[in-house]
Amino acid sequence: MSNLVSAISVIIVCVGVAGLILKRNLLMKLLSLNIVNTATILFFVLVVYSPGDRAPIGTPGAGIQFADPLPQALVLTSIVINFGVLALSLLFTMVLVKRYHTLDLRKIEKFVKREFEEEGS
Amino acid sequence: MISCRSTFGDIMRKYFISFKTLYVIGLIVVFGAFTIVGLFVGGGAGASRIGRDYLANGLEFPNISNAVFGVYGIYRFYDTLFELLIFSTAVLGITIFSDLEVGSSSGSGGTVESHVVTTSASFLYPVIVIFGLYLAFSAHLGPGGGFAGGVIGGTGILLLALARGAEETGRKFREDSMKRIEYFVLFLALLIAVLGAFFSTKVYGDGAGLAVINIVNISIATKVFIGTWAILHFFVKHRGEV
Amino acid sequence: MTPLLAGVFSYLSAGVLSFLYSRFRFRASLIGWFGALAGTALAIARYVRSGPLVRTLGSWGALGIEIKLDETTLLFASLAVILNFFTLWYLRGNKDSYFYCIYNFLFATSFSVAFSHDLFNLYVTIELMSLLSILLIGYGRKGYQIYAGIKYLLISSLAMSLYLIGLGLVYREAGYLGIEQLGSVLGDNPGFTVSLGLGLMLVGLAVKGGIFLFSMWLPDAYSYSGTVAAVVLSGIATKFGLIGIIRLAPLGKLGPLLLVSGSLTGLAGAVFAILGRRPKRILAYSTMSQVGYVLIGVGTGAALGVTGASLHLFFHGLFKGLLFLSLGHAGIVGGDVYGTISAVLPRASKVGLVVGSLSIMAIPPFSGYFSKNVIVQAGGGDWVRYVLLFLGLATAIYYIKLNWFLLAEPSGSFAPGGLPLLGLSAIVAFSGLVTAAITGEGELISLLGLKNILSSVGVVLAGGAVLGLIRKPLRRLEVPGFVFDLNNALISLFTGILLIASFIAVT
Repeated sequence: MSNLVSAISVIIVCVGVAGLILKRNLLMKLLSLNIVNTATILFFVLVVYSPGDRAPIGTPGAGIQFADPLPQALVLTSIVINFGVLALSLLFTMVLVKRYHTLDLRKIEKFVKREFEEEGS
Repeated sequence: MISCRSTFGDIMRKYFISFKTLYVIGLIVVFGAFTIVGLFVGGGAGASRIGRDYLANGLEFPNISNAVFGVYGIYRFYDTLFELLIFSTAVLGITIFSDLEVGSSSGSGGTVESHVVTTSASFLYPVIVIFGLYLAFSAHLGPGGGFAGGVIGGTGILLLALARGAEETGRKFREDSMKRIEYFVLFLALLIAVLGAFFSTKVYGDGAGLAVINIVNISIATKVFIGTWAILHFFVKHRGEV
Repeated sequence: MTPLLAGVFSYLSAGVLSFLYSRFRFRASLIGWFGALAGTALAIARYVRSGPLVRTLGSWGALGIEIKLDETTLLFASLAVILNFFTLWYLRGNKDSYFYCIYNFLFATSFSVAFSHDLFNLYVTIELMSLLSILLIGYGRKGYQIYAGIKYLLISSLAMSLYLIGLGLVYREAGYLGIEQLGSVLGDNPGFTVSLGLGLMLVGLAVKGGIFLFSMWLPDAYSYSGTVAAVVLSGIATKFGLIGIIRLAPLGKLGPLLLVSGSLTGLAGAVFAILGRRPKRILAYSTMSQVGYVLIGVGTGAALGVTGASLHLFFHGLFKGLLFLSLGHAGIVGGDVYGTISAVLPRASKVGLVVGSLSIMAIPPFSGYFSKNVIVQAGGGDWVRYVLLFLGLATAIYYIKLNWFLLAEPSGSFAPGGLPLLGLSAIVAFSGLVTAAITGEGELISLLGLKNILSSVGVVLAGGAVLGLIRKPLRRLEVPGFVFDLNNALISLFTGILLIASFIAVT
């Protein structure tokens, strides 16, 4: 059962990656990256979960299994890291959009290359 | 005579698919398949090997009920320190670019022109901030923790900004004093990490242990609180019209 | 490693202080450097006394974070200290306080990764390094710099998520996070799941490290960023992924995979560099090629190979940093090697360029000679020898090309800003001999034999001859730019994953 749910989280990761590559809009790419990161966190929490586990607080009574605390702590760190990545990527996107007035990645790449050529010569 | 290939090409052109797209989808499917097969093939044999040790040892500390706090606050505090640094880096990035020209913000100056929203936000935000503080302080006793508490506090202040106006709230929470508090707290966390690496049992033992745990909670919560508010305030200030 | 922890602490404090008190930023950074130097010296003393150590941070036993002190650790810490000194001297307080803060934090991270031996600690440290690097890349606020920054951020974040998925798979099977503990639990034959997990983690690290299909962000990021940013990036930040790979390599049976990908990376980087036209881009392709050497060294599986790889990391950081610093000092941003650069190169830049190129072409007694020959001696099979020979030839070709055209430019006067360049050139030139003398390793000293020297010099001369032959057609060729766009970089990443996964499934 828990294998199946972990497999579903891997499918979500794949959907996010597909969005990251196939979408042309920069904001959509950021959103897909966020989906990938969140689904990875979900996967990480699910790999050690067996049904019936409780949160690891206090002392366990008889017959109660505690969930593994280590992935939960790792996931806390990961969530904060994803938040930082999201903030910085939105910031850079904002600067790019203010400069080039488009969200289309191909147009931005063309502008950037032209700007670099002019600067170098 | 319409050949097979041209019909296929028409279908592809009609749905805007190209060979490149098919290739990408194929790659991703292969990646997903490999990972899922790996999930099912493995037996999950070793799961929680060290998790059991964490549960057993964490409960020996007299002050702690939450084993997850034991993991990130005591045993692996070095990782938490680096996570705080990552958060500082995000805020540093925001600060570096804070002299971008402010876009044309909406004419209302940041407040929502509705009395219902303004009034309810005015009396809701203290409750939210206090709840965030409570979560932060009780990290070692129950679920919650500094991170959740800090974020809740930060968004509570965002609610205050909604009520009173973003610019006025930004003036109240002055940047330079927040900068100093933030880095002071980072310095505290750094000190605890280094001391904990050298003198771990003395630092986290009885007596000093409770104080250190509370310092850990406060530092994480304050850092996340100030950082969240700084990031959110920046994005509110530089919002623009589409 | 506790002295190294003090080094981390001193860098972090220096960063915090330079942010808060902008007037003291240069002095705070100097003090931070001094603390790190003391920490490294103490750590070297401890290593000489007791040999390699594996410990846990804090006295928590298996529950804490595992750390290790061995030659890789010390070499990387020394690299960080030396680069820090020379770039600080070059900066002389020129940039504002935010730059010093990022700069100090980056060196703190590099000290931390040097002694890290825990899977999750590697993840957190490398993520911190990515965020700091993109702030450095985008610091100049030009459009192309911000574009390079966001491209790097997207690819890097995806890569680290893949790393985390691999970590989840490995943790599910083995249950431990420390690498030493994992080694004892996994034994000799890890199953399919653990190999796949290790492969995914390797992919995540490869994106950071500059390996061919995975790091297509690298040429753009290096050629678009500012001077000191490029030095720090190429000298330190790219090495994090390689250090991770060096730490992970003993876990699974990854040897042949590393050999193949190393050869591929080296060859691809060399071909790109031969075809390349812009100076900074040629250096970036050359970095990719040298990373191939490191992978081949690790993939041989012998202890000598790992030593050679770590040595090559150390020397490569130094001479690539010197090369980028020389180009930046001359103010070369873009331009074309075959003729449209109209820059005046200061004498210090020319000296730095020549010393760096001689070293990377493995001419004795410069430092690159030692590391490359140690890798050649580590073995790995006959075909590896031929690949390394071809790589040496190709390296000679494109560096002679670079020097030929750049040295022909008029020389400027001796600006005082060039002194750090001369100092770094001296270090690059003599560090090989100094290292051989300090460690007293038999293999290093035996490299001073006549046969090896003649073969190295012969390879370089042959490279010059080949360049002379292919000079005319080379002027018309160029590396296609679309290969390095964001979408294509991601597509090549996943193609690489496909190859690695099929490799793992087959073995």
